[in-house]
This record gives sequence, C-alpha cells and structure tokens, in this order.
Amino acid sequence: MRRLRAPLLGAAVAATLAVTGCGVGSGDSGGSSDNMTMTVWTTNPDQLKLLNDLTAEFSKTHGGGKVEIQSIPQADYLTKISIRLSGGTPPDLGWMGAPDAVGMAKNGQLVDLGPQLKDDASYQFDDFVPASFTNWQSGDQVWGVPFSTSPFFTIYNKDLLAKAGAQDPAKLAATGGWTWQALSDLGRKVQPTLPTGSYAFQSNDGGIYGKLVWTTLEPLIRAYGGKVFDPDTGQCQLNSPESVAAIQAYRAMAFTDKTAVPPGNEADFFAGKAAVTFTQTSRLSQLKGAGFDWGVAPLPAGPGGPVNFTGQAGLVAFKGGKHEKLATELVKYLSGKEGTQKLASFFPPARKSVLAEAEQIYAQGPLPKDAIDPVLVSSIEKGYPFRYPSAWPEVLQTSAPVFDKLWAQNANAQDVMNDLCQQLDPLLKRDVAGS
Amino acid sequence: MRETLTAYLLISPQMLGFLVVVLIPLITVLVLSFTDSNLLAPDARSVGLDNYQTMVSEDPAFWRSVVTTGIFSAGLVVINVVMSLFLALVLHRKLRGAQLFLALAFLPVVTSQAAWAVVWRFLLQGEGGTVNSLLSVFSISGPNWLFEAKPALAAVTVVAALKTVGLKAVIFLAALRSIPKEAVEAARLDGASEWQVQRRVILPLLAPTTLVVVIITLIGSFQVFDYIMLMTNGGPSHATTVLAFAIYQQGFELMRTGYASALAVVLFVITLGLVAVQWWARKKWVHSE
Amino acid sequence: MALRVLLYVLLVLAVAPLVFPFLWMASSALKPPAEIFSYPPRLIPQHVAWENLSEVFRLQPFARQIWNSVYIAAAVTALTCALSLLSGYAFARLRFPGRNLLFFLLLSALMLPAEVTLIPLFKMLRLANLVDTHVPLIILPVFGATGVMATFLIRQFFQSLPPEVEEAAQLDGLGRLGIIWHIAMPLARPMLGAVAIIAFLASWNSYLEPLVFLNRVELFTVPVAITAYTDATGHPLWNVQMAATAISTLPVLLAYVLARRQITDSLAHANSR
Repeated sequence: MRRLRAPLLGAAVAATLAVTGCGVGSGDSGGSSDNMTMTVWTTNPDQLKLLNDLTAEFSKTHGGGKVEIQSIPQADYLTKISIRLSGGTPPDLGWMGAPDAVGMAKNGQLVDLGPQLKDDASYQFDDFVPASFTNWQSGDQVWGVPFSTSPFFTIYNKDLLAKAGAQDPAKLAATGGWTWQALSDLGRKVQPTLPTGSYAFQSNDGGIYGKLVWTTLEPLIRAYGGKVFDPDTGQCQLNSPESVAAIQAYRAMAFTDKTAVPPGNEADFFAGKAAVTFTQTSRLSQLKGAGFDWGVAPLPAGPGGPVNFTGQAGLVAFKGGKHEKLATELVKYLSGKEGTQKLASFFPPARKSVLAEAEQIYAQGPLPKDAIDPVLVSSIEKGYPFRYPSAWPEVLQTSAPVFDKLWAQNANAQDVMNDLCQQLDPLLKRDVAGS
Repeated sequence: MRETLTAYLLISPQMLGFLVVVLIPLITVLVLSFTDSNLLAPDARSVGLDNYQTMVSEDPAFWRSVVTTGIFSAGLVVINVVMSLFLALVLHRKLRGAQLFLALAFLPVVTSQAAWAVVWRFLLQGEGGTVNSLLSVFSISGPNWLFEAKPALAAVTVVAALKTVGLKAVIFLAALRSIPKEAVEAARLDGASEWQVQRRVILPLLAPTTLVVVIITLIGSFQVFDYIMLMTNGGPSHATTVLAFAIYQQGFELMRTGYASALAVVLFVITLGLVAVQWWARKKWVHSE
Repeated sequence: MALRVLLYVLLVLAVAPLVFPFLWMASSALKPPAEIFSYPPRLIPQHVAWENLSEVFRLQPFARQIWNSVYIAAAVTALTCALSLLSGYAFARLRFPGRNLLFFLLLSALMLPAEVTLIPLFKMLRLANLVDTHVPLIILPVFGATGVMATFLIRQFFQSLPPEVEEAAQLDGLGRLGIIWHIAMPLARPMLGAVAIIAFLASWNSYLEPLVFLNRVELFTVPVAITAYTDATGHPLWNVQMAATAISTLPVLLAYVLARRQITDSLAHANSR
C-alpha cells in the first residue's frame, strides 16, 4: 500500500494552489465596480473577439472601466438572467431574444432607451426597417435594439433534388411558383428516390414537434393567409379556416404522404438526410465540408401571398444595473451605423443603410452571391417578425401538451386547434386589457 | 476536561461547516415549504399547509412522480442486484480472464454520471440511433427510446443500473471470498450438484450482503438527477419526472421555491424512512458487523 | 467444458453494455457529422475527423474547464482528508459530552439527497455573493455527504486499531496534535488514500451543483461543459460532444488502469458501510 503517498501529494498541490492565490473566488460580478458586464449566449470565439474589440474601443472613447463579456449557454440564459435580476445584481446590458424581451419589458426590467436613441440625430433611428421594432417598442418607449434580424429561408440539397429530377426551388421562386403546394408536390416526387431514413422535408431545425414549433408554423400559417392571433383584439386565430388549412397541409406531408420527417426522428438536412428545410444564415457554417451541393430560396408562398419572416435578438440594458446610463450608451454604440456594419458579418442588420452594402459585407460569407439580395436583403426589408405576447412563457407552457396531440397520426386538426385557442385566449387578451 | 476541549477543537471545523451546509439549509427548507417563496420575488408570505395541500390534491404530476420514483428505484434494484450477483458468481469461479472482465465492468463506476448519460442518450436516438441500428440487424425494430413514455423510463432505469453493476459485483465478490471453503466442500461431498451448491449453500450465505447491496442501491437510486436531466429532461410528458427532478424543475425552472421546498421535504421524509428500515433490517439480519 | 463456454458467452453478454458505450464514444468522437448516424453502424470511422478534437477547444474554453475541475477536485480532496482526519480521530479516540449525539447528527447527512437542501443553499449563497464562483463546489462536498462519509470511515479505522501506540507516545510527552501528526496520520494512510479517492471522484463527477451555481462558460467544470456542446437551438453537436466526453473521461480511465486495486477497494469499502 505504498501508493498512498498520492493523497498527500494531492493535499500539497491543493495547498500550493491556495497559497499562490489561484483564486477559488474567481469573483462574482466582475470585480471592480467600474467594470461593466455584458451577457451573451454565443461561445463562438470569433464573435466574442469582435465584441471584445468593439467594447474596448467604446471604453477608450466613452470612459468607464473594462466591459466584461460573459457567455451563458442559451439553454439556461433566461433563467440565469432572471435570477440575477431578482437578486439585484443584473448584468449591465446583454443580448435578449425577442420572445423573452417582451415579457421583461412589461415587468419593468429593461431600461427605456427611447429618449437617448431618438434625440440623437447622428444615431439615425429612422434608418431601421420599421417592422424590425415590432417587439421592441411600445408607444414612445424603446426596450431594446435588434442587432440580429435574421430571415428564415428555404435551403435545399441540389444533389438529392437533381437525382429525383425535381425542379429547382430558386428557379420556381423567381417566377412566383415556389409555394407550399409546390413543396408538397416536390416531396412526393423526391421521397421514393431517397434511402430509408431520409425525408424530402424537414421543418426548421426539425423543431416543429418541439419547442421550435412556432418558427415553422408561423410562416406556414402566413402563407395560407392566417394568423396566430390578432394583436389588436387578442383573439387567437389558430382555429380559423386559413390556419387549419395550413396545418392540414403540413400534416398531409408528415402523416399521409410521409414526405416530412415524422415526430421523434432525427433525420437532418445538414447530415444530408433531408432534401429541403428552412434555416437562417447562422446555421450555414454547418455546411462547411458538407458532402453535397446546396442552394437557397425564399420561404414558400401560398394562397395568402409571399412570406417574409425574421427571427430577432436585441441588445437591452437592464434596470438596476450599476451603470444604466453608460450601458445605454454602449447599446447605442454597438447598434449605431458603424457598430452595425462591423457586427453585420455575423448578425443580419435591420439598418437600411447597412443592408445597402450587403453584397460587400457577405461577399466572403457562406450565402451564395446571387441569393444575397433576393433572399437576405429583401426578406429583412419586407419581413416582419412574430409578434410575441407578453405572456409568451405561459403560452409556450400551455400550448406544448396540446401540440403533442396535434402530432398524433389520427389527430383532427380543427378540434385540436379549437382546444388550443380556448386555452390561449385568456393569455393573449392580457395585453389588450392591460394596455 | 482538557480532553473535552481538545475534542471540540478537533471536530469544530467539520461541525461548523456541517451546521452551515447541512443543518441550517435543512431547517430552512422546512420553513420555506410553508411559504409561497419564489426565486424571482423578494418577499415570501406564509401560506400554511397550502403547498402540501396543492401537492396531494391538485397536482397530478406529484403522485405521478412518486409512482415514477417507485418504479425507477425498484427496477434499479432488481437489475443491479441480478446482474452484479451473476457477475460475481461467475467471476468467483477463477475463470481465465476473470480479472479483465471485472476491470472492464468497473469502468463505468469511475466515469461521471454526466458522461455516462450523454453517451447513452446518443446511443438511444430514435431512428438511426446505434442501439436501434444494432437491433435492426436482428430484425427488431426498436422504439424511439427517449421520446416514448414507457421505453424512456425503462431506458433511464437500465442506464442508471448499468453504471454501478461493477461496484456491486466487487462487493459480492468480497463476500464470496469470505465464505468458508469447508461449507462448500461439505456440500459437494454430500453429492450436491453444482446448481444445488450455488442455490442451497452459497446464496443463503450471501443474504446479508444482498441486503446491504439492496439498501445501498435503493438509497443511491435517489441520485438520479443527472440521468433525467441529460437524457429525457423529465419527459415525454412527465413520464420520467422522478421526485428529485421535480424539485429541480419547480425550483429552478419555474422558480417556485416554496412549492419545491415542500417536495424536498417529502423526499427527505422518504429517505429518512428508508434509513430507519435499513437500521432495523441490519440489526435483524446482519450479525457479522 | 460446455458450461465453461456458456459462462463465457453469458459473461460477454453481461459486460458488453458496460464496455460498448466507451468504444462507441471513442469512435463517434472521430466521425464527421454525416457518419454519426450512418446505417449500418460502423465502429471504425470511414473518414477520421480529427477536427472534432480541435472543435472541442475552439467552441468552449475546454482546457480552462478541465483545469477548473482539476483544481476544485484537488482542493476538495485535500480539505476532506484534513477535516475528516481531525474529526474522525476525535470521534474514535476522545471522550467528550455529546459525542454520540453529534456523530449521529453528522450521519444524517450521509443519505441526504442533494436536491433536498439545494434551494436554501442557493438562496444563502446568493446572499453571500458566492453564486457564480467555485466556492460552493468546494464547500458543499467537504462539509456535506462526502465529508461525512470520510469522517465515518476514518473513525471506523481508528476504532479497529488498538490505541497502544498512541498511548505510548502520550507517555513520551507528545501532545494531542503531535500524536495526530506523527502517529495517527501515518497509521491512517491506507484509509486516507481511500478517502482521497472517494473525495476526488465525487468532486470530479458532480453535475447538479455546477449546473445550479455556475453561470459563466469559463467557470464551468467538465460534466457541465460536455453537455454544453450544442448548436444554437440546443441540439447536441454529437460528434463534438462525444469528442469532449472522450477527452474528459480518458484521464480518469488512465488513473483507474494505474491504480485499479486501490480504487476498486476504496469505492467498494466506502459503499458497503
């Protein structure tokens, strides 16, 4: 049993660590009170470097301490920020997804940036595409600035489509022929040519059966001329004839034609196992070294016309942070024209003047050159995001088990949607009654 | 007198830490369970027995989680004991390579639960998952393990059980080695068959150890959080939400710390009950200690 | 003979699910995404994707996260050994009022599921401004179940040891602390070794505590870090996740191969108490 020197060695090591001050207390909210903290959910080193460079520049010109960029994984982001807000130690500023920001604004947890942004002519507030502020503004108050307005678009595996002799969606789109009907036809044509375990269509990130249901459902319902709810009356419209027709169109692909990835299946476009899906620019990097040729097209249109749909994240300053004023300045700095230009290579901008330079900015990016204007720029300019109700977390929680019923083989879409609307109405009406 | 002082001095670091890290939180959790404390709200009001009332009569998920916990623990114990006992009995026969098998069986024991769970979640993917691909070689079409209620609970139970089979096998082996050779020899001389020796002589002698293993496994079965969190997140539709996981969900996802504390008190009472049973059982059956 | 073959077959069947995950983890760690779910499944990747390994370190500060785990586990080990030696010795050798009561109280922590006290601990540590630091990850095991287990083992060890040597030393004029340092600690080495192994593994493997108490990626420990290799939607990047898991499991497996006997005995001993 001579090996037992090991623990003593361990003790010695630990003691040395303690003595050399290899800090156990790596510090809570960033040490010196002069420093600001900014929370983000990316761990991408290139993005972090850019943010560090930009904030260092800001500290030089605007004073204040160092800005510490903290990454918190996306899965826990909202929880961790909420806990810090309630504990009275929020970060000074940070990223926030549109769905979460709406509720936070209503709870008074965000700083109103309105006066500072609008009174400064050099900031050019009206340079932003107006629809991009759908979720960030109420009246004259501005709760955040979208730094990423990322359009959803169609992406397809050219090899798989060519093998089946299917038409190219981008070409169809150019003549207005890229519709849900066309997608469904394409599915029936392509499916027989695919190996088992592969499918013609995958919803956005395969998420229609889970938490991401809305990112596929919203553009689908819009294409059929429906709406999830009417923001003016707070009336749920998921059970309207248009919405139900839209849902049935998808159900037909998944359960009748069996051309869409079924529930619980992992078949993934990026692994070459789905011919068509929807995505956003941030995912395109996954295609580096993909063993297939791919193309992009706008989202499919429908009886309700073409669809331009964006997902958003914004920069917000938190109420109760130690440097509310300086944090607001930093939001302004990062979302000003110059900041937006620099961030644009990672995050699609909503500033018209920056969009005008899109061809240059994305020249090196993964998006095909001929798609930059018709797919990216035009979707942002014409697009509008989902309008989130402030009770969004409850909407998600209430709807999840009901959607589970919708994705059963024999479900009746109309009945399920009636049930869903009945449960959602009181939540959606809260914003109307409250305002 | 001096000795008393020295003793208090020696135990004080641990006792003080114990006070702060175990005792005070234990009392606090009891207090919190009678309030509507919320992680996001600064003040909590006393609500009497409301949380317990809600738990028992209004929250269907509570009873479900108690039942799920029971199924999980029972399954874990059975799989664990059967597999480890089998391993121990076979390896005790001085087979060539027994040491190697034992070493391999012990690998999961030193691996972290998180790593074990992450790898198994990967293996148990629905279509295209490794386990199902292997099953399909034998023309068995496996379920979508982690996304269907019963397969999910079964999968989590088996994965948790496999992790500690090696450890329990070693404990059984130690017990086997301490069985006096004479007892076995005597039985053989009496003309007992191999099977009879195993059944009539060895297994009864292993009874006390088996009891110990059952108890450790039962108590260890509450350390299930990592598997649930990483493999199923409590789903599908609460099918794998055991009590320990419900506490985390209520406390840190829904922020309902008052209600979560009430659940924690229930879990504590259940463990206390188990500990009491253990003491009583050991007194009754395990004389050797 | 036939029995022998049958036993080997059964043995392989029983051990396969315990070993197979490691093989598959290693193989998936080196597969490109397209091969991850290939059918039929292959153990040996067709194209070896070494870049998975560099992705592990590019996507997260994984080296720093490993270091976090290492130094926290070392601190937990050292503190557990020191504290349990002191109190275990005292509970075994010294007589003082309340000895049995206090020891019984300590034992209550042994079976306590971590989830029970997690919420008040979180509230307390938040007040003390210790959330998002490594302090909770060190003090919780040292003073919680792991530390209590250690004390229990040390106490038992001294109880099984005749006190003559120490008594002689006392006659020689050594004080209590002198006895502990010069006599008791060397004597208790085998048990301290077991305690060190138990404490190190408990800390190295803990997942719930870092999940709850840490926010920032650069403070993460290994078990939480490996689960954070996901794409923007929270879906695992399987190959990178497997690579990270393999990298983090390797050192422990290696240590196990080197000190197999010791580790096996320590864990079995501690658990059968």
